[in-house]
Amino acid sequence: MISPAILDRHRFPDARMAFAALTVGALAGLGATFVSGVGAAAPIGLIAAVSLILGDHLGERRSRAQMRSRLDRATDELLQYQAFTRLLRAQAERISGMSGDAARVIIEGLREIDDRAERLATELGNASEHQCDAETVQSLKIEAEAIGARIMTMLAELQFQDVTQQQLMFLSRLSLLLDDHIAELRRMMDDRRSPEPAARFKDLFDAALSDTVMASQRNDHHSAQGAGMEENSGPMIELFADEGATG
Amino acid sequence: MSTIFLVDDSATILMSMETILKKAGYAVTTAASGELAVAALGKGLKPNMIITDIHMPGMNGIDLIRKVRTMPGLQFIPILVVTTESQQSKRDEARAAKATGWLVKPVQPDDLLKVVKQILPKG
Repeated sequence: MISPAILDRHRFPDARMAFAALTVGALAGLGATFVSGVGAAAPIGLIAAVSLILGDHLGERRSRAQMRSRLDRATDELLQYQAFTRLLRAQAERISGMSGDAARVIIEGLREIDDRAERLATELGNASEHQCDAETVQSLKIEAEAIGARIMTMLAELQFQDVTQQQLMFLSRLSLLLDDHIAELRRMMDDRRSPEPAARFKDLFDAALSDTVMASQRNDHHSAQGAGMEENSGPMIELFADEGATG
Repeated sequence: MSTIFLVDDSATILMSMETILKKAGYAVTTAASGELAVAALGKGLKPNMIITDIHMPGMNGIDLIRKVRTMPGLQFIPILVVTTESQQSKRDEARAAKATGWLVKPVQPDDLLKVVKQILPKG
C-alpha cells in the first residue's frame, strides 16, 4: 500500500485527496477481482487511479505556472512605474536647477539695469542748466526712478523660483514614497507565501501630509482625498512683539 | 547705517532681498546656511537684524534662532523669519525660540521694508 508520506506535500499539496483516490482505485480493483475473479483487475484499477492523480497534478502545475507568469508580468509593470518615478524626479531636479540658474542671471541683469538707472538719475541731477533744461532733467529723473521701482517688484517676483523649488522637492518626496510602496508590492509578489500585508498606500499618502510646507500644498492634499477643506494659514506677516526681540 | 544679516539657502532669495534692502539704504551681509551664519556671528559679525529662512539643509532656521539667542551680545537682536512655511505649529516654535516676527514668502518689497523699518526705525 502507498503511504501519504510518500507524496510530496509541496509538489502535491492536496495529498490526502490523492491518497483517498488511490485507495478508492485500489479497492475498486480488488472489488473487480472479487466479482469477476480476474486477477489482473487490481493492477488496472491502480493504474487508473495513478493516472487520475498525475492528471490532476499536471493540471495544478500548469495553473500555478500561469499564475506565476501573470505575477511576473505584474512585477515587470511595477518595475516600469519605478523607472517612471525616477524620470519624474530627474525632471524635477532639472527644472529646479534650470530655473535657479535663470533666476540668478535675471537678478544680476536687473541689478545692473537698476544701477545704471540710478547713475543716470544722479547724473541728470548734477547736470547744469545749460546742458539740459530743468523740466527735462526732472522728467528724466522721474523716468529713471520709475525704472528702479519696477525692478524692485520684478526682483521680488523672482522669489517664485524658491517657492517652486520647494513644491518640486515635495513632489520628489511623494514619488520616493510611491517607489517604496512599489518595491514592497514587488517583493510580496515574488513571495506569495509572505504573511506580511503591504502598507496601505492611503496611510502612506496621509503620512506625506506631514512633509508639506505650504498651505497650498496641504489644501491640494485635502482636495486629492476628496476633502474640500481650506486651511487657515494665519497672517502673511506677523510680529511677535510681546515675546521676540525688537531693535 | 544698519546692517541686516540675510540667511537663506536659496541664492535667488539672497540676491533679490539683498538688492531690495541695499536699495532702501541698509548694509547687507549674507550666509547660505545656518552653520555659515553661526560661524560669521562667532567671528564677530554684529548685525542690527537677522532675517532667516526656516527650511535649510543642516541647521534649520529655528535652531539658528535658538543658537543666536545663546551667543554673547545677540540675545536681543531682532530676528525675522521669512519662509514658505505656513503651519501654525512652526510659527509657534519660532515664537518660542524668541523670533521677532514671521513673513510668508513671496514677500513684497513694500511689506518687507515696512516691517524692517518698524523694527529698525533708524534705517
